[in-house]
Amino acid sequence: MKRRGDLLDISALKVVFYTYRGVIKALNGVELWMNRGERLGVVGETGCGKSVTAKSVMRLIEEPGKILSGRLLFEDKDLLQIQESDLRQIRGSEISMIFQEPNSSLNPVMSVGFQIAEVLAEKNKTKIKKQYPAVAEMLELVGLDAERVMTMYPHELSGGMAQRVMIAMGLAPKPKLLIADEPTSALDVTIQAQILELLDQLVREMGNAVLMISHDMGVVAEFCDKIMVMYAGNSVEYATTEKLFKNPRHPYTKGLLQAVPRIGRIEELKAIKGTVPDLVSPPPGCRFHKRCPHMTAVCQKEHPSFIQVEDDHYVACYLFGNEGGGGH
Amino acid sequence: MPENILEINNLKKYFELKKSVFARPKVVRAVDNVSFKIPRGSTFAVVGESGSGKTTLGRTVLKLIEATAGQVLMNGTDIYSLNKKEFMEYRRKMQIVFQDPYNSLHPKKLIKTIIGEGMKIHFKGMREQMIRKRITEVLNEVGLREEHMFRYPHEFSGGQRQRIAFARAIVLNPVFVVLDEPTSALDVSVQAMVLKMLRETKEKEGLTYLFITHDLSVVDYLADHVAVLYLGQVVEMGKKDEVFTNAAHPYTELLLNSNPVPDPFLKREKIIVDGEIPSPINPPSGCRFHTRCRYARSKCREQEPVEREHRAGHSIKCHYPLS
Repeated sequence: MKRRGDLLDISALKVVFYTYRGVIKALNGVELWMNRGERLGVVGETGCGKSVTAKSVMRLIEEPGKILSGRLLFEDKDLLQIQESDLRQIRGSEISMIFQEPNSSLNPVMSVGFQIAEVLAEKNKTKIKKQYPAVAEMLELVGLDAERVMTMYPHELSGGMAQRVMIAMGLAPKPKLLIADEPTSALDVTIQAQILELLDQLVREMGNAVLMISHDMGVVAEFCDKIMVMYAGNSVEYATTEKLFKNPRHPYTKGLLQAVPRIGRIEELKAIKGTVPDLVSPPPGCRFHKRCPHMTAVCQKEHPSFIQVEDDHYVACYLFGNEGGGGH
Repeated sequence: MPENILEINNLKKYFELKKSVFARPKVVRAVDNVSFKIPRGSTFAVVGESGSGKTTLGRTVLKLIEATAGQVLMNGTDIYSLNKKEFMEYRRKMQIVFQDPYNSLHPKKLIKTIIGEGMKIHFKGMREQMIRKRITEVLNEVGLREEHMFRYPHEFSGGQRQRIAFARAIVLNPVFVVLDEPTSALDVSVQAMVLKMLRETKEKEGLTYLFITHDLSVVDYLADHVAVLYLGQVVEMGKKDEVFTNAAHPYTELLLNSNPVPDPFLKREKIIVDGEIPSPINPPSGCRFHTRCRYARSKCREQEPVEREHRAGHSIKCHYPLS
């Protein structure tokens, strides 16, 4: 299979969750790739699998979830095949992650300085104490008063400060890939603007690739080079940010863009009819077909594969000369 | 009937924080001297960030929590001057939809009970059949079906639950509804449906909305008038189009600019303001926004600006307006 991104290349990734209601088919053959230093936004609505995809990259899917199959190439290693001990070398130092709720991912009984130092010590194989100067430097870089914040505990931080600490912790080991899962969704807009600006500036200087998970089309439009749209556990469209907004191909992407309110928008909002399918018993074929205005017989049979329609533009839809056979 | 369905004069809501028995209690001025008028049949939006007091304002207006001082005139009558019995009628006329449809519906009650509960209180002795008929009517109105009456909240999605919460609000034929972040918990495609439904029902039922939100793009879609709240005070207020195109307060400018735009072709200069939203317990001296204002001068730190008319129907609380 041809390599699509030189940093990360995920193909046919399937993840399920075993629950009392049945098996939730959360990821149904996800395709996703990134080049070094690139910023990819993953968008989609609740339950589309964007966070599960992000966690899968770090192999952080826990019981009752399970990664069933797929290929997850990070540089030249398949992260699904390597040993847990080897993965630990990558996790947190080559790939790191920041979350939506910084306060629930920081340890409440450890000082901020200690927590960041721990990450660095793990990467550099030194004593934790030795890392404090580097930690101070990193805290200054994210715009915090290092001397003061170093000894603070997470509960003493405001939402914006906590997210800065998370960014410091995520970027301190200079990862090749930073995964940001809704990093600003819990923040007020003015603070969100600060944090996005900070992240933009830092990753530009440090050259990290960023995989940004978001439900906000505005945030990805402003921050990302490329966008992956997900729906009910599938990648449905991938394009550069410009192409996706100018010329969306997949009916779901089109629907999503028509539903987003924005200041100065004159056209009436259009909702997508119907609701997201239950992933315990998803509809056969394309998972979007029940809500799709262009549905044909073939859509109900087999999931369309993810095919290239032009440079840097991929779609999983039968409207674009698809042979089918993706997923399942 | 007066032209303004609701008029609020110098409304204040202070909360006392009891820290210690001996220390002087600290006071949070959640709503600090707010006045505005809502014209009949319009949607009046209150926008602000966390800690701005927007939710407290919505609840104080409905007397769900008692105001510390000030007047709330509903059709010219001060609802705070009424006794319990007189107030009942106003309780019916003024309704609210809460932000989180997962917590605002009783999990163990049927939808029929949730929606019909108010009718049993306000229309005592109404026949069950009539109540059913009215419930069916409102369910249809919000885009649900009659059979949904016999289900429980957990059987519905977020968007549907918000419709149910709205059905409960309009079942009593209110004239005024407070919408407290009604779509913030919803996905965009669902949000679009709920917003449209809110707009259509407003026309059909002749409602007036007080719409509380932090999302300016939703305000643009739904509102006729807007008041921008910062640390308990209105800093700018006027017709939505006027405020959005000629924002005169630096805070409004910042809010509008911070709102991420879903358009990669629009290149604009981002305003980044350092610092956090100050605590409403210790609001800054002078103009409360001066700590984050990029135009602040010495006067702003010392003297509190008065709210004044900037243009016709556009008021502002700032020493040095932008436009």
